[in-house]
Amino acid sequence: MIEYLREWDKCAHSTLRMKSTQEVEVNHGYKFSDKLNAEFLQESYGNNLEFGKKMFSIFLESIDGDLEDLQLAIHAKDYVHVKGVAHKIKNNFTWVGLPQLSSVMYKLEMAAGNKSQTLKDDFNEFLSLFKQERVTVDTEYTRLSDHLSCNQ
Amino acid sequence: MNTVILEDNEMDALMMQQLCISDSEVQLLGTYDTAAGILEHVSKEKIDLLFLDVEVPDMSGLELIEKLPYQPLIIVTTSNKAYASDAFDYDVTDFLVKPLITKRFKKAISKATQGFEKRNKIALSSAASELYVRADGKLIRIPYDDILYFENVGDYIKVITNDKVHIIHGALKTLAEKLGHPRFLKVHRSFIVNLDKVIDIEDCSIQISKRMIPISRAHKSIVMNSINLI
Repeated sequence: MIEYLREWDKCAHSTLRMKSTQEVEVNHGYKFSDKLNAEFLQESYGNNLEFGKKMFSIFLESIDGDLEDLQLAIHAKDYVHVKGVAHKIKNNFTWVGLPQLSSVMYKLEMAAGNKSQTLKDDFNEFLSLFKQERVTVDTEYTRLSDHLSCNQ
Repeated sequence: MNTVILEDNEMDALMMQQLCISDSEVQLLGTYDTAAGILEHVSKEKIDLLFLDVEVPDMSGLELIEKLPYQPLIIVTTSNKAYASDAFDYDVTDFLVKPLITKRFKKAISKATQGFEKRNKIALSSAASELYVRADGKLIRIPYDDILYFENVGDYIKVITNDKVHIIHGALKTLAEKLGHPRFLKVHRSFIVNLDKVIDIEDCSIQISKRMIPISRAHKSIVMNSINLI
């Protein structure tokens, strides 16, 4: 079984057991940024902002390594690996409110499957889009963390 | 419901775990990122519900269904809607398109819970040995022993017995759930057969009486797991 999931499983169970009126009040009043898909984030994390923070944190910790991995594989024209990494990470963007980047990553996955010659250009275009959005995700994570610590 | 998750994306898996553990009907036993992990788990512990990512590295989720020793309730999760038609050939309970929407996920669990309760009810009443069909304003009793097979034709089902053919209105999937007896097995989207009446089995067909009944790829492993092959 996946180790991180086992650990998270224990943590999530214990969070749920301790869920109280106080926790609901802590979550109350937080609004996700309109620069992200706020409606989706609200539905996914509105009742458990700690979990939302955890998801943002996982994204921010892993995304640079994943994109570097992708870049190296594109450079090496290792289409199978490009497809695999793109497939594995594409939904992550949606979990931080960037569904449009999930769609772009999906196209990249398909392009790798077709051994497209434009893969490098497609990836650079993706990086340029992500660079702009990365700041928004960082800001949201900080704001969410501050909100939770202020209301503890 | 004893539940396991197959999901190779870390964040999708975490979200699914979060939603599962917040549902009192679900007892989450494990989360795996390979089909091999699921096969190992089911060989050691019986599961009732499987969340199945169709695209995992070691094999397709649909191939995994064929390798399972029995079929639990299955909720398919995928980013690719194109798998829907194939997935429903395997009689899955629900099909969720990623990203997972909380409300939709809960609805899928609710459907699985209903399916689970239905299965339990059937297990309790497996002593049933007959059914009644409506025909000519009457309810006609048909002992299970008389039935050869059922064939779906449009919105109707033909009940083929030793000496008669009864036609009833309905869907084969609903009928399979109502029959509730292990001797009746769905072998194709259009056929349920009475295993006690099988004469022989070839690669892709079953002979019952003089009729050759097709076995679909999706149902072949279930057929093979249901017979006492020496």
